[in-house]
Amino acid sequence: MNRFRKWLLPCAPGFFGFFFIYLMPFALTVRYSLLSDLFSREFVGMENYLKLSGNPYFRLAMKNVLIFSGMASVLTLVLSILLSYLLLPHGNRYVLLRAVMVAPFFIPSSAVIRAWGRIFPPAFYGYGLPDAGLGSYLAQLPLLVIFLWKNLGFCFLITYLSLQGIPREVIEAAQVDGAGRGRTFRDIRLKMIVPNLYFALLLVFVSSLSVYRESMLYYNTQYPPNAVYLLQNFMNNHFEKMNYENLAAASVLFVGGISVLVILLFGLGGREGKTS
Amino acid sequence: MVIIGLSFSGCASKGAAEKEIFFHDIKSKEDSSAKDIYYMSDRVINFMEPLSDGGILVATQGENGKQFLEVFCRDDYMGEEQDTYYSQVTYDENVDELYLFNASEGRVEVKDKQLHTTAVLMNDFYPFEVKEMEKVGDWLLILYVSDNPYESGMEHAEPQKDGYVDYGETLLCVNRLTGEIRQSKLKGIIGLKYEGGEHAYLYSHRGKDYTLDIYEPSSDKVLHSLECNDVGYLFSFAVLGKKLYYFGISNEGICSMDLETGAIQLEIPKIITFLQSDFDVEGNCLIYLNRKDMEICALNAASGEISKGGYSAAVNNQNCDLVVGMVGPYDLTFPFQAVNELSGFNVGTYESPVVADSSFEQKLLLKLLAGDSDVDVYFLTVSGAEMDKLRQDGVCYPLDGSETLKKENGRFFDFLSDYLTTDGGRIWGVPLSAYGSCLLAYPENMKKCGVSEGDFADFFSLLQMLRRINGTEEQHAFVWGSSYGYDLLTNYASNNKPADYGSEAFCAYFQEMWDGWTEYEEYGLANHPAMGRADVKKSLYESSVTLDPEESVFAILSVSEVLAREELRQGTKVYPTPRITKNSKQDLAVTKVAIINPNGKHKEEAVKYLETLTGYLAENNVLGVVYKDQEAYQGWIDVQDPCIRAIYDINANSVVRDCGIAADIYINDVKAYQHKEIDLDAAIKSIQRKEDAYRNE
Repeated sequence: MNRFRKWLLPCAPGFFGFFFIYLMPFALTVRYSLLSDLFSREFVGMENYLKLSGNPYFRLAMKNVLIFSGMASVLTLVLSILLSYLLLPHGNRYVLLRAVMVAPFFIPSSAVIRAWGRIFPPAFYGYGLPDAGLGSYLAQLPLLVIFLWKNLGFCFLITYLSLQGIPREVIEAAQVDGAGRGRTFRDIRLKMIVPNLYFALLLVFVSSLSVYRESMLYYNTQYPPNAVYLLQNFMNNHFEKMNYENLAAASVLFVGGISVLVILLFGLGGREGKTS
Repeated sequence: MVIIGLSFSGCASKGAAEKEIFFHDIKSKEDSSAKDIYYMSDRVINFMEPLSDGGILVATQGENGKQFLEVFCRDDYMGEEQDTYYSQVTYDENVDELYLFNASEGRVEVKDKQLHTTAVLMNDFYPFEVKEMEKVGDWLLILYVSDNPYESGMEHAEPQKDGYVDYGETLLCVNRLTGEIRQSKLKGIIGLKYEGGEHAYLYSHRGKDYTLDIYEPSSDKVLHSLECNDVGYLFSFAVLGKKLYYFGISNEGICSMDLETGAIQLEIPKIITFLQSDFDVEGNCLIYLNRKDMEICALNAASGEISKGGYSAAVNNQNCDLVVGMVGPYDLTFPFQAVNELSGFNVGTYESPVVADSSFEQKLLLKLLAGDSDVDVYFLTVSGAEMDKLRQDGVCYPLDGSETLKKENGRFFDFLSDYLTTDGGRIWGVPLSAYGSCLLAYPENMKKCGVSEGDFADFFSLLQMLRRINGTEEQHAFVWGSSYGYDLLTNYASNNKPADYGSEAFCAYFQEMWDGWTEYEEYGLANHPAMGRADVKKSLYESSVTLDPEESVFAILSVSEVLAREELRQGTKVYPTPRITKNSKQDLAVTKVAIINPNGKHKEEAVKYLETLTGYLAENNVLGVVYKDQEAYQGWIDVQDPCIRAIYDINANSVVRDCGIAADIYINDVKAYQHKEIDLDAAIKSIQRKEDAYRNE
C-alpha cells in the first residue's frame, strides 16, 4: 500500500491520460488498418499493409524520412559535441551565446521561411534538380540547414550541460596521468555522458520528424520534389482523398518503425551507461 | 462606470435630443405582425417587399430559371411568370406604386399591384448590382454598384482594417414627377433605408467612421450623422423605434444597437439576412427574409414577438421521417419544399447553412465517412478526389434495388450512366446538376468580321482569330463566359487519363496562356492579353454582355442559359467550346449529387424520397439535356431546332469532368513560370510529377 501511495498513485493521472489520449485512439487506428474501408468495414487482415508496402510512393516517403532524419540527427549531435568541445574550456564566459543559440528553437518557422528562401532559392531546389539519383537529394539541403539552425542550440545545451556535470576530480585525475585535452574529451568526458548523448540523439530524431512543417512552408505544395516527399505528405494526401485505411496502416507502420528505433537507442544507451 | 461610459462612446458624443432625430417613430402606427402577411409559396425567394395592410410582393425562382412575381394581399392574389428578370423593388404606399429594376432590359419600371407596367422611369441602366431602391417623397433613390469590383481591377474592393469594403456604391436620385436623374455626390454609402417621413437613412463609411445618416434627397445633403463604429460593417439594416437593426460581418444573426445608449444586442440568433432588401419595416414590425430557412418573418419591436408567414423549411428533426444533410435550400437547383411535399414524408434538415460553405461540405463528408446514422440522404457538392471516393463500392448505399432509379439511370447518356455506377456495377447516386458550356455564334456578324467555323476548331484557332479581329476597326464583340469552367487543366485531365502534360499541344497551350502574363486568376480569362477587355471598346463589351444580335460575334455560355433563352437561338449556331486539341471531347460537370447514407436509419424511406426527387428533376428538366431518348424532351424543347440538336450532340459525346490535380497544386508552377523563375520544361516536368503522384500514391 505504501508503494502504491508513493509511486503508482501520483503517476495514475499520467497513465490515465496516456491510455485514453494515446493508446486507445491508436488501438482504433490499428483496427481501421485491418478493415477494407470505413463503410463496409470488412476485415481484410494484412491486405492494407501489403498494398502499402508495395506502394512506390509510400516506400519513397519512408526512405526519405529515414535518410533525412538519420542525416539531420547525426549531424546535429556531432556539431553539438564539437561546439561543446570548443566552448567547454571557457566555462561560463559565453552564457549569452548559449542563450542565443537556443533562441531559434522558439522562433516560429513561418516567421523566417522567407528569409531562408533568399539563401536557398525555392526555384532551384524545387525545380532545378534531377528527379532521381544522388543529385536529387540536394533538395533536402534547405530543410537540413533550417533544421540545424533550429535544433542545434537545444542539442548543444544538452551535451554541454552534461559535460559540465562531470566531476572535476575525474578530469584532474586523467590530466595527472598525462592525458591531453583531446584524449580527456574523447575517452573520459564523452564516454561518461553516453546515455545523455543517446537521449539527445533520440530527442533530435523525434524533432526531425516534424520537418514536414518547414517543407510545406518552403516548397508550398503537397507534392514537393521526390527527394523531399515525406511520409507526412503521403499521409496528408491520403487524408484529403479520404483513404483512411491507408492512413491508418501507414501510421501503424511508422509508429512500429519508430518504436523499434527508440527501444534500440534506449537499450544501447542504457548498456553504454552501465559500461561507462 | 468609466469603462461602461467608454464602451458607449459610439453614441456618447450626441445629446439625447439630437439622437431622437434618428428614432423611427412607431407610436402613431397600429400594431401589426406577420400574421397579416399573406404569403404561401414553395419556391426559392429572390427578394420581397411588404406592401400596406399586410400585403407582400415576392419574387421567386420559377421553373426553367424563370422568375415569378407574386403579390399576396388579404383578399387577392396576383402571380405571373416573367420573361425578364427583376432584381430590386420598392413600394410607395402614398401613391400605391411599385418600382422595379428590370435587370434584363436595364430599366426601372413602375407597376401597379396587378403587376401592369404603367411607366418606365429610366432606360439603358446596366449596373453590376442594384443594392437597394427606396422612394422618398417624389424621389426614387437607387443605391447601385456600377462595375464588377473584382473584374474592373478596383483595388479598393479589398476589406480595410476596420472591415469596410468599398465596392464603389453610387446613389442615384430619380424624380418620379419631372424625370430628373441626378447622381449624389456622397461617397462611402453602404446601405439605404426609408422608414417614412421626408428623409431616408444612409449607413455610410466616412473617413474612419461608420455613420448612420439622415439624408435629404432634394438637396442631396446629409442633415444629421450618428457615429456607429461599434456596429462596423454591415450587410443589411433598418431603423425601428429607437434601435438600429442590422446583419453584420459577425454573421451571428440580427443584432441591434440602441441609438440612445449605444448598447449592442443579439436579437435573433442563427439566421441569415445578407441582402439590403431582406429587411423592411412595416408598422411596428421589422419584416425580414430569413434566408437560412427561406421564411418571411416579422419581429414586433414593441412586444418582441416573432411571427412567421408562409412556408418554412425548418422542421423538428425529432418527428421527421428522414433527415437530409445539405447546404441549402437556397443553393439547391430544385425547390426543396416542393419535393418534400410530393414525397409525402416529413423531411428534416441537418443544420443547413444558406450559402455554399466548403467547410460545411467537408463536415457532411466526414459525417458520412465516420458512419454517423443521423442523416439519411446527403446532397453533396463535391469534385475531384471526393467524387472518386463516393464512386467506390460500399461508400454509398446502392440504389439498384429500386426499379425507378435503375430505369432513370438507364435513361442518361452512357458516359453519365457509367459515371454513376461503381466498378462493381452498383448505382451510387443521383445527379442534382449537370453543367456544360457551348459556343454560341452569330453567323451574320461572323461574316462581317471574317470569322469562319474553322476559327472555333480548337483553342489556338480561337486565339488567333481574337488577335486578328481585335486589331481591326470592324464593329465586333464577344463574351467570355469564363465562369463555366473553360479549358484549363481540368478538361485536359478529363480527356486524357493519365494526362500527358508533356504533349506538344499542352506545352503550346501552357505558353500561350501564361507567357508574359503575371497576374493569375483561375477564371480570369477576361484578363488574358488576347481576350482582355482592354482590347475591346467598352460600349462593344457592354453590348456583348447582353448578346446584342447586331454586334455580338460569339459567346461562350452555359448550355442551360442557351436553352432557357429562346432569343439566343434565333439566327445563331451552337458549337462545342474549343478545346486544346480538336479531337478532345466536351466535358460535363456533375458536382452536385444525392446519395443515401449506408448507415442511415431510414434507408427505405430515403430510396422512395430519391425516386420522388428524380421524378421531379426529370419532369422539370432540371438537369437539362442529359437523356438519350429525345422523346424525354417533348413539351420542353424541340430537339429538331438546329441549336438544340447541336447541344444534344455535344452533350451526348461528352465526358464527366475530371479535375485531376487541383488548381492550388499546380498554381505554384504557373506563378514560377510567369515570374521567369523556371522555364517551360521545368514547369511541365513539375506538373507531370504532381499528376503522377496524385494518381498513383
